[in-house]
Amino acid sequence: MSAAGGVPTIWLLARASGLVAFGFLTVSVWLGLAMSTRLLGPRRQKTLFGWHRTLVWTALWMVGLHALTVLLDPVLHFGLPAVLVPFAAPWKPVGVAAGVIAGWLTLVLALSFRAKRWLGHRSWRALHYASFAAFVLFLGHALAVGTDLKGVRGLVVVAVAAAPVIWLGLARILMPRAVSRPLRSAAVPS
Amino acid sequence: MRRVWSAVAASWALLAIVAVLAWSHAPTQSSTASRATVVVIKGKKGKAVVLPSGVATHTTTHSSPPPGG
Repeated sequence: MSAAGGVPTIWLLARASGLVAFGFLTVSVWLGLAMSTRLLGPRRQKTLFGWHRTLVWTALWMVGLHALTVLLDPVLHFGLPAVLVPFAAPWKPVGVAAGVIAGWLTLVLALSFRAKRWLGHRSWRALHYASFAAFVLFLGHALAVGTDLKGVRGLVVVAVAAAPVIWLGLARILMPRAVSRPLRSAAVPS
Repeated sequence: MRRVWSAVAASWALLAIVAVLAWSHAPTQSSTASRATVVVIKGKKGKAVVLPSGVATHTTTHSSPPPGG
């Protein structure tokens, strides 16, 4: 089945699902950082947490669709190992591996919410720092092998996606005490 | 309910991007008319010479020199 211009629909779906997955993961990272910096106040923490988790799982479904459509694409000739095992792809193995590693890492992070009690808060928090690595790997994958993020368009996407992450990340590192103070005072009534 | 909204948003985003990509690949009459083509001819000593079409409607050879030449 081919869409307009003789381009196979499966190839359009592969590109679109990759872009949607990247968008949802980016927003999820923003929400996670907004939560940890308590940017929107203590009352909205629960809502932010709910959306943070939901968006990650939706993005993972899109990552699954992206892998499936790439697998079914008649031009790429990707086998199952190419979409599941890092560096097994016959075409641009490093760029594809970045996406494969990021996908597995995101799945582990999403599942870690369910294993939080077993892991303990400190271990879970340490593991959660890997989300920055996953974000950078997704970004690298999109820029290295993405058909739609070449040239200026890619730079614009990098700026829009990464700027809030850098800004919120710096806020999280530089002023954790000043930000968390209002929550403590609110939790303990005088 | 959050999951439903998230799934609906993802589906619409997917369809919208597929539509935009399909539209951007759609062939137009002007693009097919102005498609670059080349003519490959055999030159001296059997070497292939690539000439963009439309640049010259007639090329001279040793057997048919230009008028007055």
